Amino acid sequence: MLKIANVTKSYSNGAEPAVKDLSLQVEGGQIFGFLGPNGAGKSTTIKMIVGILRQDSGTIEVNGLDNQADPVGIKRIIGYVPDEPNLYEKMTAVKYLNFIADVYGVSEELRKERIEKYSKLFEIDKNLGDELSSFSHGMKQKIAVISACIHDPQVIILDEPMVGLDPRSSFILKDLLAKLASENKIVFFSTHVMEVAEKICDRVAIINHGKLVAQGTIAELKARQGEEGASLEKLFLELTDSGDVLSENL
Amino acid sequence: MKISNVRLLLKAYFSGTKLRDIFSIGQSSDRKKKSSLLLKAGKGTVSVLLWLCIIIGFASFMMIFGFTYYSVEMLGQALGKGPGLSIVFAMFASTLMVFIFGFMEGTDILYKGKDLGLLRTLPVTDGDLITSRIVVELVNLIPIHLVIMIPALIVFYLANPFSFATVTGSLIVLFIAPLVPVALASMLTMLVSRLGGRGPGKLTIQLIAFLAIILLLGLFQTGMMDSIGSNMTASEISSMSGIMAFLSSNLDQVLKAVPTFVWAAQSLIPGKAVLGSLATIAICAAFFVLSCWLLSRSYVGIVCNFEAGDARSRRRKRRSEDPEYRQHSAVHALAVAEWNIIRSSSSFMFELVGESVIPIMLIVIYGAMGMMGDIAEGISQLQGGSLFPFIVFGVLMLFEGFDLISATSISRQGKSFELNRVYPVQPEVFVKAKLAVHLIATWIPNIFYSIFAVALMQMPWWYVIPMTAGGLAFAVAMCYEGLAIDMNKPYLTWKNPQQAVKQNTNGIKAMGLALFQLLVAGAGFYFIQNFFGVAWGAVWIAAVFACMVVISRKAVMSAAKRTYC
Repeated sequence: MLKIANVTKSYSNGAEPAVKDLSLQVEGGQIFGFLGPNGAGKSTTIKMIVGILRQDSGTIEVNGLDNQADPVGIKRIIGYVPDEPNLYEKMTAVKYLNFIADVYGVSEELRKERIEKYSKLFEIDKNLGDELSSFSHGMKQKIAVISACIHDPQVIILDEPMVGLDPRSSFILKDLLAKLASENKIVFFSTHVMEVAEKICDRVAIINHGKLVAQGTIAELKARQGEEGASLEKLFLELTDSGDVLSENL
Repeated sequence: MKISNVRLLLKAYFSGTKLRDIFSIGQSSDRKKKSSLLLKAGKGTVSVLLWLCIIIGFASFMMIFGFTYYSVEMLGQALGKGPGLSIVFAMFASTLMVFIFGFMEGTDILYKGKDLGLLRTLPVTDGDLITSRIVVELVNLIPIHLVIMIPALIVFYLANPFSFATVTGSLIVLFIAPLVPVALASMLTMLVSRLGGRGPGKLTIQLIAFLAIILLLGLFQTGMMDSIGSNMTASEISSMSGIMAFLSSNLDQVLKAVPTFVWAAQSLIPGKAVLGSLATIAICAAFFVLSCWLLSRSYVGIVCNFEAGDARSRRRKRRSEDPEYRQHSAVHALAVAEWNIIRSSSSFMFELVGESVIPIMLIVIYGAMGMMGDIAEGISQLQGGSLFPFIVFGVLMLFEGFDLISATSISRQGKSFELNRVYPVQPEVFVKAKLAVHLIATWIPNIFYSIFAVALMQMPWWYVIPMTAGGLAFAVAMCYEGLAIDMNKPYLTWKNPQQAVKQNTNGIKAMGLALFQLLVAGAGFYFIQNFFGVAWGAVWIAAVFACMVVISRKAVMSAAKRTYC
């Protein structure tokens, strides 16, 4: 279980906290969508979970491990796909994946099996020997996804994973996320694409100005609107104050 | 070319580079708030101390230059050649250094900036873009030029009456004259980049060209000395006194060979200032315009080749290879990643190679300045004395201390550093990996130089053992100290790779600290051996090095915990 309790985070140069008193809980076997407009605090929250940033207050626990008390332990069970795949450009894809496998201590047999499996799944197996500097953004994103899965993590966290992926790869990724959730893993991802969230998420949370504004299953959130033809997109626009601005400015 | 476009491009380039951020010591990003007042006060003291070390280091170099220039200036005046010979001499040394460093940094500044992809989509011409990049290169290299030229100007002020021409001439010599070596370095960079074509070995070709320049300068120096030395003794030809003697009879020919340097010197002399200034400005402008024109003609082609060439050929080459899945330790994996980061940029690679060949470069530079003979004479007087091995050891440590490898290690990672915090690895594993790379880059060359020094100076062979053991301890301490400094405030937001190394003051701070420690070790050794003998002096050095390793290890582990956890 991923448990975020009363987490607040400020940047030294920012007047307003990027994340304010955020509390969330995600159970195993769920695909959890984390939605919000630009600058809402999604990436900051994700970076705190994976260990890139440290919260100012509050607690983050993953499967009973506290991120402050056991930072290395928590990192072992998380797989992370960043919003921008900043990989080591001079490495070949297979060398990069081997590097990640070494860092996570994955055995030779398991890494071979997983690299082959996922690279075939994402149709990138023919490019494993190529240098990453020759890869497109989408290809690098696929390598980032494979590297996040290489140690078979209990929790997979993805920051805008669909960006740069072609429709076919997006479809494959969605399938993969569903499969991981079916294995009782936690899948936590941020997205701007409401259709994706609506289609594959078991539960979603909407964050705005660093605060949680809504949380629940898609059906629960739609029911909150209480009107026919309610959509997640409409709810999102309402909750993030974007609806009025849009109609006023158009 | 539009001047307004060039100005805008320069403004955009330098807008993200705040001097206050670079030249300060403190915590990075989000960990800042947790620093206690005591910690902040401590950092302030450390910052002042580090800057003091840097200033002392640079001041000592500038003083050495100053003494040489003073002798030259006096010689010029004694021979009735008028004032300014020190400026000619300094211009020669500076042109050499700016040219070498300009070539080392050229590729990254001119062709590999991270912002180039965006800039090339803007409505600016290749001429605008390349002109702005050459100016950026000039700005980056000016500090080297200033360190070499300022002592010469001080000597000139001391030896000659002050006038308006001195002020205008100084400005020309300081800020316009370096355009010539910058333009030459840019043109050579372009040539080598074109030679590399689309092949995979572009970086190798650049490195070969760099080593060839050093070799050529060495050969040029030897050739010059040979031609001078037909009627002089061996010791005279390479010493300052020998060069003085040569200049006294051949000064006119020498000055004719370097007219640009003479014009630059004349720009400071009343009566000759107008012509000297105009000639210097004209020659600098000509070189600048020529380099801008030449580079703009091939700019897009070279940038595209850099973007695509290596990748394409590597793709072809590796496709046939079967992927390997061998498991390694995390230390090995992180050390390989570190090596790949170094390999990703010619600036990083040149830094590594440059630091390994520092002794050879210094021999070339000292040789060009006429100091080798004096050094050799000094050595011959000291040789056989009980202090001699310690002096050799001290010089070798000084070379080892000229090192940016660890002090820019985190900064070099740039944006990819963030992902390091996600890896489930203890902080000491990161430190061990970086230590491994540091030792390969600095200690292994130190072993070779120690063996070479022991053989050349005819010392007992077993001296290599304590020398390399001391070298190991010093290298470990340098690595830990450099890492601790860089972890404290890494420079991750660079646009050009050379900003992560050359413009990163963490490297200078680490070198200043190394120099300070060597001074403490050396001064203490001198004092102790005077009263208690050489053996106790050696014990003192061992104790200082051991303390350095222990203290720096504590510092780096504490910094690593804050950085990676």
